[in-house]
Amino acid sequence: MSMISRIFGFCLRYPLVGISTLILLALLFVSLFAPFLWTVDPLQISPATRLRPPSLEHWFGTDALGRDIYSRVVYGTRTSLFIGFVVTLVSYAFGIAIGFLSAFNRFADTVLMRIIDGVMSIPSVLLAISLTALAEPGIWIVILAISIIEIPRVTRLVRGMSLALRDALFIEAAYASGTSTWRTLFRHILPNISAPMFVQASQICAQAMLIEATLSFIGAGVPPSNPTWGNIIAEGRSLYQIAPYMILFAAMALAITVLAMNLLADGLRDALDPKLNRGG
Amino acid sequence: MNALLPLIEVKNLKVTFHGRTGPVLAVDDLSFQVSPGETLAIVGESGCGKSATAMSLLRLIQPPIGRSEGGSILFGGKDLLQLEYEEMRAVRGREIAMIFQEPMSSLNPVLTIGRQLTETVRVHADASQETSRLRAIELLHLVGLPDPESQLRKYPYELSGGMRQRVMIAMALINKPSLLIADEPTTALDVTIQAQVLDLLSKLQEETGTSILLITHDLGVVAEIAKRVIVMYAGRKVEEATTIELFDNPQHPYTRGLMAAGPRLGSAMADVKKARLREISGTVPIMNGELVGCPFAERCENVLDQCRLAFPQDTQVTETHCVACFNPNGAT
Repeated sequence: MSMISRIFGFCLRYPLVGISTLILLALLFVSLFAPFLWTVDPLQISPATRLRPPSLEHWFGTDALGRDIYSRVVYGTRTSLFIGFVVTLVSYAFGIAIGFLSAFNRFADTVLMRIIDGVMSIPSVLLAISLTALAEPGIWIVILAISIIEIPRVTRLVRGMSLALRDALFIEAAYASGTSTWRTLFRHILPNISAPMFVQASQICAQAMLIEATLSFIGAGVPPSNPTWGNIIAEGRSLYQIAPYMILFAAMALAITVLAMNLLADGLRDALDPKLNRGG
Repeated sequence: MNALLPLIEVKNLKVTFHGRTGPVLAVDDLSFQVSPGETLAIVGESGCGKSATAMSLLRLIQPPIGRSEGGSILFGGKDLLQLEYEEMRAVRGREIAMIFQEPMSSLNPVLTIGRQLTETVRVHADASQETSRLRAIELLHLVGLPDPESQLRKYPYELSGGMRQRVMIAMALINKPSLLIADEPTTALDVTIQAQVLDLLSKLQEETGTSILLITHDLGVVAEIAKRVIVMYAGRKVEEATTIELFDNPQHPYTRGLMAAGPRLGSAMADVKKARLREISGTVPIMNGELVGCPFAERCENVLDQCRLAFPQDTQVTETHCVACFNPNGAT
């Protein structure tokens, strides 16, 4: 009970976090329970009912192959969120490891940072296109490509903040009390950099979904057999003048999700600052 | 325990920092020992190697910044300079603990006081959350923080400087170390709080029997709690004596200079506006290996020709008092 009231109080204090979390939870719900939300098979082609505008039968209309757009958008939530979260996890796992290593080892720093610089100097979408071109199209190659784009950003953040903290007196004090390097990294440095990391994580998640949409839009992303918001928009692009609803709903879903993620980032920045934390 | 057997014995310690222009000798040929339950103070001005000494006892000066090059630090029958990393880690915080100059920045700003205290316990012992929490409360109580249980939930920014230094002391003592290194523990605090912290240190020393190695530039602090004093200059020990001997009969010109540089109640105070504190002119030389002879020679009023040729050997004044000076009495 007290847990619930505390969460409620927290959301009242940080309405941005509350609202955006609510939206994201709703999206999570949609993606988990997609089959039970009055959807039909998103891949079901029905030439007889092509390009129907929104109606009671097809809430968001049908596309050029007669597939139900509502079902495709709902199932697309699954893929898009999945890509967003997995990319965030992967890029953080590698970003933290590489960032820590280069902050605490000069030799590793020289080598790793040059590689990171190299990756960052290639335009991200171009890099992703060439990576997806290397392998059979599919969701995992897209995740891999977007992760490779995002890892340097996490690494830079983690490295920069760890370098600033490395010589802090409380880190020295931690060593002086016998804390091992490993433990210092995870018990002392990580908590100090977690606030900006959470903020950036929600941005990266949003960014990943946008890049996925971009890739799918130009046909280098997830194949249409696995609906994502990006490839729904891509398929609707040539017909948007006669059937704008094909793009509209998927684009709205994408915009709302990215907006919610960015709001979450904004709210978290305030909520996670211990100096502003009023006993939450 | 045999009071004659030293707890820690430093022999011919040499610490160098790798500066931009080459190695700088921060500590040169320093020897001293601390007996169980004793408070030894190391005094000197900024840059004379006090903190470098303290840090090297815990082996916190590591390449590429610098390293301890020679000598030995005998502690509990082991030479700390020869220990493996893991063995040294077990000494840090458990047998030798350290409190730092800046209580404002030596606590982790995003962890609660409780978390930091329990963390320090759990680094060394496989203690449960509850045991270490009780130990934390016990220590906060010992250092005189009111309502320890609610302090555990606080973040460092919620505490004043004096309270933070008390937390630091609690944290240092939580694993019952036999030696506590206090590196300028009161420098960052205001005068009333300084007195409280010093009182607390000597009270805790009586209760726990911990030896204290006090690093300071403040002779007032030395007079307050130390039993013996080492005066350092440019990485060298120039004088060593009991506190009483040092204040009664300072031998080295540098020690006298330090004492003259502080205000004296009753002497010059009668004519406060005209009275001027005496300073020691010049600065501490950088010990980059080019200097031969006594590093204080350039600033010394008793300087002789031989001072520039060799560093003077220790001369015993009494059994507990020795000085490294060719001409302590100012003969010309």
